Amino acid sequence: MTASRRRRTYPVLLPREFPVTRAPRRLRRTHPVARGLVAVFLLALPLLGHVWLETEATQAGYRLRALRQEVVQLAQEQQRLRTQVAALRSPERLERLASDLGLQAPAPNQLAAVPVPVAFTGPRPEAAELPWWQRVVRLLHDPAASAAEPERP
Amino acid sequence: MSRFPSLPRGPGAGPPQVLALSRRRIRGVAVVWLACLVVLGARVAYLQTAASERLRELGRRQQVETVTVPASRGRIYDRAGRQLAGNVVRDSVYAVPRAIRDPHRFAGQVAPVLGVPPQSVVERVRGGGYFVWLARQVSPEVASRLRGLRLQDQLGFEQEEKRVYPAGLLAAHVLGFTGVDNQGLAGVELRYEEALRGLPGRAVRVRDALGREILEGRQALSPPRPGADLVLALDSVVQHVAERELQRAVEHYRARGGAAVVMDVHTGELLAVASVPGFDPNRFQHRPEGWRNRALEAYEPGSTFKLAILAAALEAGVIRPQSRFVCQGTLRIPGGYTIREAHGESHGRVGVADVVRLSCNVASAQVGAALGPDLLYRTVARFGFGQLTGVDLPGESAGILRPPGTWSATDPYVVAIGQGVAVTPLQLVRFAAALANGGYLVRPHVAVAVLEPEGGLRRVEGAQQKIRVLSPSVAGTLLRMMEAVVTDGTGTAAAVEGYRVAGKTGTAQKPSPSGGYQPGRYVASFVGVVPSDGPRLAILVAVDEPRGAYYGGVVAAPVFSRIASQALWVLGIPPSESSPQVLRGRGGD
Repeated sequence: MTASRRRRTYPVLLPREFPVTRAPRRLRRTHPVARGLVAVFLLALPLLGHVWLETEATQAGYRLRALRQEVVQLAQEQQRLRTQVAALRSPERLERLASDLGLQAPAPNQLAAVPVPVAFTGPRPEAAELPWWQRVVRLLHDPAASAAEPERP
Repeated sequence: MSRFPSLPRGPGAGPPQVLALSRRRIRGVAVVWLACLVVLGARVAYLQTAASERLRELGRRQQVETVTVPASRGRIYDRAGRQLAGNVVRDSVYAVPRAIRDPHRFAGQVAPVLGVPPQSVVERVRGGGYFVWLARQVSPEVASRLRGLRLQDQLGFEQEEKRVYPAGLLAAHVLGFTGVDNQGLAGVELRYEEALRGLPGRAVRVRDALGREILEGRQALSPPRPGADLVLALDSVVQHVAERELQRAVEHYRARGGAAVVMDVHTGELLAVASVPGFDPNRFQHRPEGWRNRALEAYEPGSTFKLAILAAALEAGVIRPQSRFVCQGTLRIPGGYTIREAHGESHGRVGVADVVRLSCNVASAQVGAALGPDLLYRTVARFGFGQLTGVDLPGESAGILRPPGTWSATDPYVVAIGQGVAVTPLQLVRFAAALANGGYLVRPHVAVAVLEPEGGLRRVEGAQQKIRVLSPSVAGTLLRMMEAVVTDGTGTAAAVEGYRVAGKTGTAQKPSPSGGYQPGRYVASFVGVVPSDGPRLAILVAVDEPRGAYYGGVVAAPVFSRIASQALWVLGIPPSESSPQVLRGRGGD
């Protein structure tokens, strides 16, 4: 029977043993998991960058909105303070305060008009050449100047 | 192979009939479910296709709305840059009726804070909807208390600008006031509404299902353009002086009211326009009787009108400065009437200067008769009487100067003494300015410049178009004659120490609506120019129905003097060099 046939072993010439060497680097680099991870990372990188930019833009938007809100609030506050200053400077109030302090308007004989020669006043500034209403407009444009009592045109 | 593998099989599964019944039931349920799914699918398909546009529009209308963003109203300044009108931000309160379950409870919480009856709140919120105003521009204290109620879903706040007038009553008749939506309703607020109001912007607002605004959803479509600022010719201090002195006179003589006007004789700029009684434009609703600007209303001028008659006669050559008249105290005129002197005296033979100085009725009536109806009317109309002055304030009266075709034979006589005509204080002060500036009629105005928000500048009045109505010689002659009124005539109380003053008194009986004149009711007035040797200001004072005294020289002239002296000082106008008071002033005592 074939099944009970005796097996024979034939001598073969084995190849001589080669010294064990490291696997080629190329094979190690191309490990599938590592390659997958690298690919995922490379794909995710622009996405992460996009998300980061979006987040930054959103944050900047929030900051911008807050700053705009602050500008509006400060403008409102400035307007309120200007109105308050105007109320504090109202002639009726100033007159009442002056009266409380015992101040009086000068009598006509306490006033004197002193003509000042041009030689003492020097050259007239450019602003003085403007009509009075343009000087008032210039005054309204200049916040520093408007903080002080305006010069009478 | 079975379609229902989970069904029990084997000895305990029951007979085949039971199994078949179960299968039928299951099939039935499946069919019902399938039918439901088909119906639902059809409905979804319908909503997503045929009805999608309509539903999208419906949802957009419920959630998204385009709102108007009001522009900031321009401010108003006086000639020195002092703010007369500005804006402050206030909270306006609205309710969301849809979110209010118990209107009575809601009203019980909100109404006491707002200071309104609870029923009015209930009526407002009962209408349903998403938005109903409860109160506009409430004070910060009220807003804070309302926020403390913690009715976030039911109560909302909208920031709005409220018009404020920091100087209170000052120049209220000139400034006018605005309504709750910041629209001009009176004064320069109304006259310059277009420049002041700006252009409103538009924004998209998103609301949630309860009608509350989602702040993140707000987007500006077009930003609002702020209104332009307005610079007035008015001087706050001169205005205050005029108002204070007029108020004192009205209180002293228990008069019904009064008006005072201070005008630059060369430009027509109105430095002060005072009217008593006044009102606070911040709370204008509280005193509607104070809204009348008497500086724009007509009244019978009385003797101040004699200046116009004499100027007309001198200009027309009907009389000369040297002409003389006879005054016997009374004058019989056509129609059976008699013209009398105020004090019953007889002036005798008087010149033109005496007519002005003594305010002689008889001589004036003779001049009127000499002019005749046509010439008198034509010349006086050329002086601007009976016509609008064109002042940039709403509500100006043109006065009354009837055409000569309607005059009776009496009229030239009575018009010559300031009766049968009506003029406004502005018309009279403008005529006085014409006498002072060499005969030019200027246009009175309160606004001089509009300052655009971008920084552009626009002069409102532009170059003043002056119309010559009198020759310089006639104007100068009359002005010299008017000086005598203050030095030696009926208006000595109008003198201003250190300055030369020219003026004319007026005491006019008030006409009765039923004809004739009302006994004991007068308008006392004084119109003058100061300094008369270098005219700068024309000032008119009129006091309506003073009690006790009623002569213009007694009631109005002292007010003129006090206003003039302080205005001259405030404006830095030096004393007249030819006046002896100047030398006294230099003594410094």
